[in-house]
This record gives sequence, C-alpha cells and structure tokens, in this order.
Amino acid sequence: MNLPKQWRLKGQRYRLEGQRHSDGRVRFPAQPAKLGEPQDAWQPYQLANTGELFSWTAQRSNRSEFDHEPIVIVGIIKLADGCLITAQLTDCEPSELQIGMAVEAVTRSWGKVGEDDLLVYGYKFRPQLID
Amino acid sequence: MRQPERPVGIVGYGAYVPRYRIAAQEIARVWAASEGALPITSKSVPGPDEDTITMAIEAGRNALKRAQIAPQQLAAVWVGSESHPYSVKPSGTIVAEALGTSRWISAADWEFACKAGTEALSAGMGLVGSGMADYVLAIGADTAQGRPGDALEYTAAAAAGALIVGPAQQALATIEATVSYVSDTPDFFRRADRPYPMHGNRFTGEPAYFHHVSTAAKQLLAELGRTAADYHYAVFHQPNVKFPQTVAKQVGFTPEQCQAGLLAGEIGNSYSAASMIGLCAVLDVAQAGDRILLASYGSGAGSDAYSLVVTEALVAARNLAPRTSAYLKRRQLIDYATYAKWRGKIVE
Repeated sequence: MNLPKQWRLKGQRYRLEGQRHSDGRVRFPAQPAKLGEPQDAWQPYQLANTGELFSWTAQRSNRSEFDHEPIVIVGIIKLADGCLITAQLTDCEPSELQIGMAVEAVTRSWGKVGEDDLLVYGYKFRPQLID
Repeated sequence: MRQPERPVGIVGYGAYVPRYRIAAQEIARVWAASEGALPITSKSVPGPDEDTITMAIEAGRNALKRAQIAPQQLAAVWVGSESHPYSVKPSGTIVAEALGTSRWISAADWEFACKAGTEALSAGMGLVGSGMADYVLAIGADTAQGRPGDALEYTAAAAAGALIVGPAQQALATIEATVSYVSDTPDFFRRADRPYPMHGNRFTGEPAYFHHVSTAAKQLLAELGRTAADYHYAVFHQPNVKFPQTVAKQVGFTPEQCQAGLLAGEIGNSYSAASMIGLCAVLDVAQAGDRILLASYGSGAGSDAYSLVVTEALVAARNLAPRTSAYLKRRQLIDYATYAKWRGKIVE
C-alpha cells in the first residue's frame, strides 16, 4: 500500500503542483534538487488547469484496477501555460473527442490500493464544460 | 430565530452534478410490475471515478471562483454528507488539500441525513458571525444509496452544493436569520454495516418531512414578521417533486416562487446537496433585492430555514464559474445494467 508514498504525491495529484526553474523551465512532477544544485533553484509551480487535447488513445485491454471501465481514454494535453501532460480523460466517449478541443482538469478517483482500500485521488481531464 | 452579531452572507457558491442520468422509466422497466406514476423524470448517477469527495472538490472550486478569495483565506472546510467514502477518515481534509487551503483550518465532516450540508452552513454563520473567522466553506454532497427495486432507488441521486459564508459587506446574498427545528423521528436510517438505508414509506411524509419543514419555515417567517408574498424565491429540500411542491403550498408559496430552485425532476434527490444546489440554481437567476427562503430537511429529523437577500454583487459574480444549468445540460443517459455496475449493485 505504501502510505508514505501516497501521502507524498498528493500535491501533484490534487493540485497539479510542479516546479519552475529561475530560468523559466517547468517540470512535473516535482523532484528533489540534484547534487550541487541550489536548493531554491526550483520553486513550487501550479500548472494551468485548462488546455487543449494534443493527442489521445483509447485502451480496451486494461489492468484489473480499471475493470469497471471497459475503455480507458488517455490523452496528452497541451496546457494553457505551454506544458504537455499525460492524463486519463473522463466524462467523455472516444466519439466525442477531437484534437485541439478545450479540456479542463478535474480531481477524480484513481482507484483503491491495498486490501483495506486506501482511496487515491488525482487529476484527470474532461471536455471543457459549456455554460 | 438566530442572527449573528456580525452580519454574514453567502460570498461564494458552487454547484456540481455528475454527467450521467438514469431515467425513472428505465428503473421501472426492470422492477415495476405496472407503470404507475413515477416520482421524477431522471436522476443523476456518479461516474465510476466519482464520489462525495470528488464532487465536493468541484463544487468548492466553483464557490471559491465566485467568492474571489484565495483558498488560504478559508478558516474551515466542512463537508456534510451521508455517503462519506470513509467510515473513519475525514472527507474534509482531502477536500481542503485539493482546494489548496492553509493547514491552519478546521476541516470536518457533518452528518444529519439530507441536511448535513446546512448544518455546516449554520455552524459557519456562527464562526463568521462571532468574528472568529472571515470565511467558512460549507458543502453538502452525496452519492445516495437505494436498495435495488426499492422506491428509494428511483430518486437516490448524486450532486454537491458549496456555499462560502463571509462578512455581509462582501456577500452575494446576505443571510438575515435562521432557525433550526429537530425531533427524534425514525423516518429513515442506516446502520454503519448496512449498504442501504431503511425508510418508513408514508411515515417519511406527514410526521417527518412536512412537519419539520413547514414548522421551521413558518416559524422563521413569523419571527421576521413576513409572509411568503415577501419572497421572490423559495427552495425546499426535494426528495422528489411532489414533497417540496406540497410543503411550499402549506407555507403559502406559489409554484412560480419554487420553480427556479426545484431540480429534483431532472436529477432526483441529491440528499445533502439537494437544497443547497437548489439555492445555487436560484442565485444563478436572482436579481439584487430579491428575497429567498431556503429550508432543508434531514431525516432523523430536522429542518434548517434561512432568509436571504440578494445583493448588487451577485450578477457579476455568477459568471465566474459554471452555472447549475451547465451541469444539468450535459446529460448522458445510461441503462440499468451500467448503473448497477457503477453503483456496486452486482455481487460476484
């Protein structure tokens, strides 16, 4: 189950927290400073939570934790701040997807771990809600 | 009647309704021996990756957008529900962490059947009204359970409503006063080890819902020296369409006053969220100066009633997050087999 690992990753999973370097580079997920690198070279940075669908694929043969979803759609999203992120798409069918369509981040269940069902939550993307 | 020393109001609000619906006719196709009158048209169904926590997070984010405050300004994140995903572990801390609040807050879960969310709202009025805090997020969210084939299965739905209580000067709608009325009434209950609740059929009506809601609403109006005619809108807890329409008539409201906040026909009974997203839907259309009566109901039993007045700030703020109608429009019907699979009704 590895409770400390699940706990340590919640910033990136819940809030898309990555890091931005003083020279403008962005990385996701956050990583510890490398040997010899100043500790403050990378600062916390929250990725944009909207973007457009850069690419996607539908997986129809999935691991057991996805057996409640016969089709799992995975997309690459070009975020509004220019970053590319890979994420599961939700609230949609493959027939509804078009490259370039507007998508937005939501927090959803990623599943359960361990025999006692620790619930894991994280980011997914869905077609942008039309008001 | 309770009125805080420091005037308070709703400074932000947000709704969430899942994309999926099952038609009442589809449930009747599987279970009903004859086609009788159905209590609603369809009900919302949480997707396979949704629960009370994920819905509360989205409603909370929408409320923060409208409040135009940073998550770190919240002093409390309180989640009312009867379907918290954990029996032991708060939903509130997960929601708070996802919203990005300070860790120096109160985060807790509330339980009072379908009025757990308004319990959090009343407590928020106390915290802000006493001056102990400036902003409190009160959420009502549920993925309600209904035994297969039971009358409850036609209506037990899913949604979340989030309200941020803050100083009246910043409010989109000020809260003039509130009352709470409760009694020990066993109309509906579920023990911790039981998957589905038990309800008392017709006993859930007259001595339970109607008595508590009408008593609370009438008492608030009487103490404020008002009648239903002084209000533009009324929102009552909505386990179906008929109950809120009937209690509205008992208190003196017309169907027109209740129409904007009556969502049960489309999405069913969203339990702790029901009256709160009804209020969200009203705030989506109300104008400055409009007066709103809100009365929740929780089995067990009790009702919280509130009198609100819309301010000039509402019209600009309502466009900062998706309106309730945006969630109602994205309607994807599913069949009973899919519903049964997603809701864990198929036993291996």
